[in-house]
Amino acid sequence: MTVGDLCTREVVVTDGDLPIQDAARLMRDRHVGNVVLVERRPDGSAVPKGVITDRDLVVGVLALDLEHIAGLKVRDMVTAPVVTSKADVSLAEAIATMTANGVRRLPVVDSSGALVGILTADDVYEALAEQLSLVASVATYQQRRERRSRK
Amino acid sequence: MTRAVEAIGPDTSLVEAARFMRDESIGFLPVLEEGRLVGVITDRDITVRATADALDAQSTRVGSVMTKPVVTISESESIYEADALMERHTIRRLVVLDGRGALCGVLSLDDLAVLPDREKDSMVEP
Repeated sequence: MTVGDLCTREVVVTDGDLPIQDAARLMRDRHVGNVVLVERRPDGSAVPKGVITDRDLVVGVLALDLEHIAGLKVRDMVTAPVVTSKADVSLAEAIATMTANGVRRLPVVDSSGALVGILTADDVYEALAEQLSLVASVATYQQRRERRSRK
Repeated sequence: MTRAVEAIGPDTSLVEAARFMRDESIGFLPVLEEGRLVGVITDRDITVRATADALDAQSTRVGSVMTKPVVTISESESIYEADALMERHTIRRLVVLDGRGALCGVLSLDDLAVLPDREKDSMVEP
């Protein structure tokens, strides 16, 4: 199972010129907690440059009590280089990337670096829970088989 | 669950709430008025109910953007019930109340995720 199999394919994207108020509106209207800042290439594909979350808008903007919030753009919010994951790597590798960088979400890119999805900690939980319940069902099956064979 | 949780008052400004969330590294705060739970506020509430509507963060108070009523659970309830409650309300955190109805902690979906399966049948508090 690869990151490409598990990630969410629908990603809300924006270029850097979006005012942060509009980013907040986008998060509300599209029911997402993050927007990926992308740069368009001539072929139309999008390269992730940053991730901005609902929390970033609170602790990174409101907490500063700035005079001119209305003039702030998404570009101004993105400071650290974005941490991404390739689509063809394993779930374990993506978890290691999250852990090493302390991030809960990874924009997922193809071999050319174009955005194809986003993997969040929630996606990881879901995948792991599914695998755990599979392992649990093996144990139950084994017990049943053992009871049968010992009769 | 997390015990000794921080809380905030409904008259706090959103700027102060944002600073508090930043400094304490938290995104979820029970709102208490004279010791009584009147709501909860998250970083997301502030973004989608205040920033998105261009409300002034200095003059807007926590009480006007918080979520209420609050979905709570008693500390003597089972983890199974907590999980069901989160799913029913599509929320990731529950405020946990003690036997007298006072705030005693917050249980998050992340708390449940790290719990081994066999413990999910046991109680919030043994």
